[in-house]
Amino acid sequence: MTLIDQIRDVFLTELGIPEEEFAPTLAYGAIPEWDSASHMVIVTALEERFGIMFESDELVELSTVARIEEALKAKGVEDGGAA
Amino acid sequence: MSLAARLQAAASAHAGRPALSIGGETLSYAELFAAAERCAARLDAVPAGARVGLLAHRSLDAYVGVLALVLSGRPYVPINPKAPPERQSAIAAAAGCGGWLHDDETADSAQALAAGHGGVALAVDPRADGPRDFTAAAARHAYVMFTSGTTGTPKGVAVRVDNVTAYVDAFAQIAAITSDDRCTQFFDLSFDLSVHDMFVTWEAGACLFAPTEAELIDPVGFANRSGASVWFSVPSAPAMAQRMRRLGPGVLPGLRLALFCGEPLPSSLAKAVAAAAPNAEVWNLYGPTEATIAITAERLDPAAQGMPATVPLGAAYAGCAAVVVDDAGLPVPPGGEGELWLAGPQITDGYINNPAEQAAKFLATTIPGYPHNLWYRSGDLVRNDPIWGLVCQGRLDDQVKISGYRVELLEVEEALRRAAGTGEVAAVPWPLNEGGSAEGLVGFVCATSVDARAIAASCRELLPPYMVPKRVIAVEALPLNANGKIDRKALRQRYLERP
Repeated sequence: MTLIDQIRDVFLTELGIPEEEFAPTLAYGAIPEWDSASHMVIVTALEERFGIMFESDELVELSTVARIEEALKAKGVEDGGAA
Repeated sequence: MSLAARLQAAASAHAGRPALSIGGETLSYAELFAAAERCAARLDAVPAGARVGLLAHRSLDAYVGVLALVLSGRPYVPINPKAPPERQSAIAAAAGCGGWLHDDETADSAQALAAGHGGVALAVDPRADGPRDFTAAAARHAYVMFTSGTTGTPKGVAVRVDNVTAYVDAFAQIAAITSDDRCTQFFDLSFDLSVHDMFVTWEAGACLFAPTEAELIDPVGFANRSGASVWFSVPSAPAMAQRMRRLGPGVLPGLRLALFCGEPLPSSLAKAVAAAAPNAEVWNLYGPTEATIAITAERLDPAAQGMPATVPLGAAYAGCAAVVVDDAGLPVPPGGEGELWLAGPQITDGYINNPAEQAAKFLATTIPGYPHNLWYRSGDLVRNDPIWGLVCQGRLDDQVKISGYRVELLEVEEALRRAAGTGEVAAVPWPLNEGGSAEGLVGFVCATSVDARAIAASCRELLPPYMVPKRVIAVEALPLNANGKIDRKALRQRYLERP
């Protein structure tokens, strides 16, 4: 599973959104389901899935799917698995 | 003096001072009220006194629209643009609006509601020029707020102008806001705690700082960048900040007041807030929409030992009463528990077009020892603790709080029934936090298998996002309790609490 597939999996599971709404450009606040409350749910799910931890300053920077992907790669997460 | 007259008096007294800051733009009282008066002048196209749906969210238009409606004596009906069209339409049908105010992004929704339910759609257009002469009218109601309903449709609560002024006056006795204060505005306008933000702030000549949707991701950072002195949110907001590791000791040094309402405030969280905001008084406010914003308040003593799991509800506002009663409607003795009944000048006119619910919840009766003759039954189970006073113990019905939003499980189950095509469904709050509030819902459907995605998608067309079940689970049978009702606790234990 590629990294973006895994991120998609987290978004579809945690937000309950249909697949067509997911895209690298999807941004925090752009859909009702991704709000301040669910943001933390997504972050927690990503942290658990990849066995990593975001710094508090990083958490508010994770405002698009593309930025989440970048941040995960910066933490050494690669396609197919944990950091 | 009416709310409109009081706000106008504050606007003239503080004309040059900042009134509203949003998205990097700050308006003075003179500018904000000029925009509101120009909008009010254009509202002459809407019948005097008619309710007006307001479709605007976290924009300058939203605040100008509220003020224009208050000044012109037309009750505002906030309709969250994030709610699905079917729910907007259900609110519109129940509200009977004579007009629709919209911003740039909600013009299409407003036109659709006008086409379907009558009335004219108008843009707030806060930057438009034009005359400022409008007809002020003495309105009975300030706003109609819709909350989750038990019958599958949202129910509207009509709140009088004098309920709001009673609230503002009573709150001023608890914690006076001054013109030097900088107050947060975190609540959606369709959540009645936003009424506190706007009118308490503007009557005091203080400045309201409204985050954009993107800024809501980090309320602590927003408060600090705004130089906020007064914070008001649901407890879920600092709880979220805590999980994001942004609520450490001393991170909010500029706050002098930290107010919480909308759901039980866990004592441990309140103490974390007190440490994060060492210069602030921390207050737990309590009250349903039907009693106007909040009706009791407790100041946290961070040094107190042995506090219950949630901060007590505190004392009733001046002139109001909050009494724990037994099944016979008599006050319980110290140590007893029962339903909390509320009375006083903040008790609203109640539900629009819902006589059965009205009769069940608003009682023309008396309680020995109290002068009030109209009581609102809150549905909250409360202990009359001999040391801590009123302590929340949960609900007597199927209402739950999700991130502070009031949700009737029966309304969610009605949507699940339609989506799943079977009558045997259940909605279970999950996971729960230590204050007893839920972060989301799980749907159960009695079937051999379910298309969870399709059911969620169908629910999304009927319900606001926070009410949509995050998971849907197929079960062979729904467990029943001794009364023959669906046993949600058993469902939770059987399917959700397994390791």
